[in-house]
Amino acid sequence: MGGRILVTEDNEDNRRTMHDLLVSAGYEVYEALTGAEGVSMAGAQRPDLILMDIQLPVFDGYEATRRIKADPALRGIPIIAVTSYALGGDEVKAREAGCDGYVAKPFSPRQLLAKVREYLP
Amino acid sequence: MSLQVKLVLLFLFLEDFIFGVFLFLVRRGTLVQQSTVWTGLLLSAVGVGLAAWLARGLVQPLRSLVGAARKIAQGDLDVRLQVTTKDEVGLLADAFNRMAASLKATVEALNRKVRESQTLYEISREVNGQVAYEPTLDLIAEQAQHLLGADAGLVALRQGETDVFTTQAVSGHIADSFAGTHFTLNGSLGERVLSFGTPAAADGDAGRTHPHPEAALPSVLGVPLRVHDRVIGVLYAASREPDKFDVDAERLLAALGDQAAIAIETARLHDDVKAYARELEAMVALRTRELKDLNDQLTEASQHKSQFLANMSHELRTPLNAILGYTELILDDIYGAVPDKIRDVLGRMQLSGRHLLRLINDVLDLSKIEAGRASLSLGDYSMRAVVQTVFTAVESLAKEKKIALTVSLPNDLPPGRGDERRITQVLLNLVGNAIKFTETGEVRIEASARDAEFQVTVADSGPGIAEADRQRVFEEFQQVDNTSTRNKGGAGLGLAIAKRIVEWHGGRIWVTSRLGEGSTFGFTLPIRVETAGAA
Repeated sequence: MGGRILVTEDNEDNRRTMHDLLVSAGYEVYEALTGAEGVSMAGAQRPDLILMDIQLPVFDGYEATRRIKADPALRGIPIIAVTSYALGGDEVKAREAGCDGYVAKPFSPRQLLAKVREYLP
Repeated sequence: MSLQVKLVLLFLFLEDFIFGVFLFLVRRGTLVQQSTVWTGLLLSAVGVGLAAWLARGLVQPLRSLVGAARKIAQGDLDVRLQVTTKDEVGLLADAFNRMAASLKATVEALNRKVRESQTLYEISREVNGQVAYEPTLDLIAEQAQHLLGADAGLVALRQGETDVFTTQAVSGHIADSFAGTHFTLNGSLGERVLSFGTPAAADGDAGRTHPHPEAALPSVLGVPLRVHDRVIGVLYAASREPDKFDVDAERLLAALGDQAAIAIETARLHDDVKAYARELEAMVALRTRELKDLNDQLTEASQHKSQFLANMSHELRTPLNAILGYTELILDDIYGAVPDKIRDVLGRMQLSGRHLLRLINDVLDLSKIEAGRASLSLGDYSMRAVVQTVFTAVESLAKEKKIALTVSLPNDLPPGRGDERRITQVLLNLVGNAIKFTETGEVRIEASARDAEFQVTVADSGPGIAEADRQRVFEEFQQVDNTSTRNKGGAGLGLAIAKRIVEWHGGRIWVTSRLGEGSTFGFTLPIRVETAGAA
């Protein structure tokens, strides 16, 4: 168990709960507040997994995902999209942008942890 | 007996007498001498010639008389005898000529009357055939002019019940100067026409300072235009020729006036009706536009409302998710061991928080459907699988309440086409409600296919729903409020959403119930839904 996770999320509470959950589960957590920051931190930290919120300032999670997946050095990092739009089509859009997984808000911490463990057991 | 006739008769008598004497003498042999015979013959010849000459003077005029009579009989009223003598024949011819002249005058008068009647008839036919107002007035003015051989015809109509008249139509000489002119009838023949309701003629008064039909031409005739004893105007004929109009002309114009008044009134009514119809049309068009605008505004407002609710729900969910997230983390001892007392309270917070989240999700769902922002995601599904999913989801809940949950499905349910997630949502809602409101007994799910429709029913042995409430359960926020349903949670949105989803698929939803014996909720769905109905 363990691993380094980048949480790209602009909402402080969401960031905090994800952080507390993942840290307590034994992961190392980095935080980015915007799509742009997410892309730069992905390059700087080379995390094992990225949790990517979709509604983000500067540019959104889809765009951040596209940029990270366009970088051959970062392409291998799995990205789980976390979207607050529980609408049909979001999952498809996330996959098209290059996301490897998908979690719809609202999620319970336990659901999220289960999803994370699919990639970082 | 004239002298000529007497002479002829005398001569004939003398000739007979001379000839008789001559014959007598011959028979008696008294006249044997040649010369005597010749003398007799000569005498006879002279007598005959004299008679012939005398007869000519009498027979010839008689023959002319007969000939003239024949011509008159044949219709030639212009035939006249040449009167040369002062005798009886002359007197006869004179009398004949006067008779012919009188006959001619009578026939001409008759013919004129016939012509007038005909003309009037044609005019009235034409005038009455005309339904548009202004052309009718023009036609009447024109006909007044022509019928009376006048130089101008004019129609002046009263303005409502006032004394002001307006020239409405002019034909002929005075055309431009009087078109549209207002005038009062004070002291004019029009006033007389108006006061007595009879025709009046006047010498024109070109010196008038105010525009007036009587100033138009030397001779003016006016007749009232009357409708039901009300004078609506005056019809004028005017002529350059002084004393142009006689009694016949008055009579004629009055007759035309009577016809014209009816025609004017008809045309006016027709125009009024048309104007009223136009007004109505305009009003209808205006109201329609207003209603459409209002409808657009309402539609827009409704969409704004739905959009607002959707946004609002989203905004409400974000902090609520944080609360629920922290609560769950605390309950999972992420922040350290939680004492049981606190754990119990946190558990209640979590339940209330989840309830609130469900309400918000329902509002979001409904508002998205109403805003037209949700769409059916059509695909193939198995009704058996839907029922199974729902059964699995609520099984533990039913077990907890010790309620028997049974399912009855035929083995040959056909594959369906629709929005599986939404259909599952509907059934889950119905079954969830049934378990929620039933304290003992059973909840039974049945599904069947018939006439291209699935029919699904959820029957419970709960408290039942009073008839008055049955109509309202599918409306938003209309949860039946009684002691048995209170504190069961839910905002009463689930059935409203279920109803929309079912109708969206082209199906229908209903409830049957008896108080104290339970309720049965049912819905139908077309087995194959290819296009979504109205949400």
